[in-house]
Amino acid sequence: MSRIIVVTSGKGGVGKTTSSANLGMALAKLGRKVVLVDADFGLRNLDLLLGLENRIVYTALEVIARECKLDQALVKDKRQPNLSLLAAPQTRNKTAITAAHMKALVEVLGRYFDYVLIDCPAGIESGFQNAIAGAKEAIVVTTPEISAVRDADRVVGLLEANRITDIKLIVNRIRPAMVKNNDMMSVEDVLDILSVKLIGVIPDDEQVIVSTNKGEPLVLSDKLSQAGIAYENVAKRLEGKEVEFLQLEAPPKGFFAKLSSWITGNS
Amino acid sequence: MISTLLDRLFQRSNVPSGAKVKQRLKFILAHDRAAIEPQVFDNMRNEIMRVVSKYVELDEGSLDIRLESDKRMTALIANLPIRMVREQLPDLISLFDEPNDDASSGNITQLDSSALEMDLSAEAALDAIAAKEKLETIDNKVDEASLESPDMVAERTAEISHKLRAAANKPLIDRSNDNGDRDLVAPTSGLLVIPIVAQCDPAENSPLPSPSLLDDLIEQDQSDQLELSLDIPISLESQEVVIYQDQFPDLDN
Repeated sequence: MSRIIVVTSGKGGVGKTTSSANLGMALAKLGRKVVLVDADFGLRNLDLLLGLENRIVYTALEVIARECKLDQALVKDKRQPNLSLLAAPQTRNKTAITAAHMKALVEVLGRYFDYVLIDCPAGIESGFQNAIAGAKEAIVVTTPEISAVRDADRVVGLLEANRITDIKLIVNRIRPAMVKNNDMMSVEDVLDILSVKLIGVIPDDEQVIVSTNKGEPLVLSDKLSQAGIAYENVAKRLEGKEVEFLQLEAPPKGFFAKLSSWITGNS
Repeated sequence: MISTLLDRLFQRSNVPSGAKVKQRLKFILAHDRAAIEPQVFDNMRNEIMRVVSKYVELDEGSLDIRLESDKRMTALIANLPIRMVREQLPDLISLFDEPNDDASSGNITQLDSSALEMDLSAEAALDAIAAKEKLETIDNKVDEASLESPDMVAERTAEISHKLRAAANKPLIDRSNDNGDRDLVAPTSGLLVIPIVAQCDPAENSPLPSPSLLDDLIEQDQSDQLELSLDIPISLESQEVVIYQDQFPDLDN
């Protein structure tokens, strides 16, 4: 039985695509056959994060229009053969793809893969409706910011209204020092407000930008960064394993850092 | 950095933003989840106040009615400080009805019996007319069948139906006059009611002299708080509204 999971957030720029890419790769590393579906038609980015942008010939649009076979449109990752990508068309014809198309597409993919991860576009309009159409589960990504949490709450409501009740939460870009200083909502605060099951806490990590630059998901690097470990843990939890949440703490400070933080009040 | 150093040296504390953002978020989410238009919320608020004001006098300055949400459940929280409990005199109750309400409910209870009698007698008279005309139509029909031409029949039925309609409309017109403009129908009672309504409009006018006098006698610390809590489930499965009344057994009376 394959799992069809939509990765969504409502707000843009909170890390949906980064999370999709890393989760897909981490699950593939665990030996699962995974297909990543980019549902952000017209603004595709998942191919860039995976470093597969040069290998895309056909997209979901050609598959739906029957201009190519599904197999032809799937780009298999050479670094991790368990992972495939179905790219979104970059030119967008609004009427071309409907929710029914997407539903049929992911259901067919579900016959051949253990995981179908759908990278949802930002917003709650037709693109969102299409992306969630065939999904059985959802991962909601948010950051500890008021706008992201508000949008996540809206999305959770919409998912429930669309009968997707298996919803899990990733809190992204946690900055432990700010949380400690009570200048950022903690994971507990966000959970308290959203009341959704937590599946991952990802620290704010500069390596995310580095990995995007290289087109290489964090979880592929030899020496995993904090965020990379956190994504691997999310994948393990998706697999049903009990994994402790990372104890995120602000890095220890030197004397000058302590002095400067005393002056600025960020003790 | 220098300004923050100064802040620190002179103990100008800045409140951490984390607590504030959580509070803001909770407030905004409660409204998002309930999806109540501000205007509708205001209406609800006013109506709640009106109903509660029938029984107790509220301290309107420190009312607090808002939505709060917890665990994907939104609740209406109302904190209504009570100045005093009203004696449940019928006229006092009617004072705090809206003018329209007063017109319909207050009219029936308060307008003198003569209006009621008028209505009753009008109805009786109309019944009589209707019965009479019914008889006539039957008579006519018998006659018509044997004597009258079809033209005459048509004319007559038209006339009768016109009369009947006029008769039927009459009590309605009367009643609407009763309700809308009381002074037109029953001047004695109308004079009595209208000024009271004007005086007691809770939104625009100052409180009644007697309660405010009593107010002075009652110490502030005696003011009770009435809390209402209505839970509004958001999920599709359960749409009913739950009212926790067991916490406030007094409200049941």
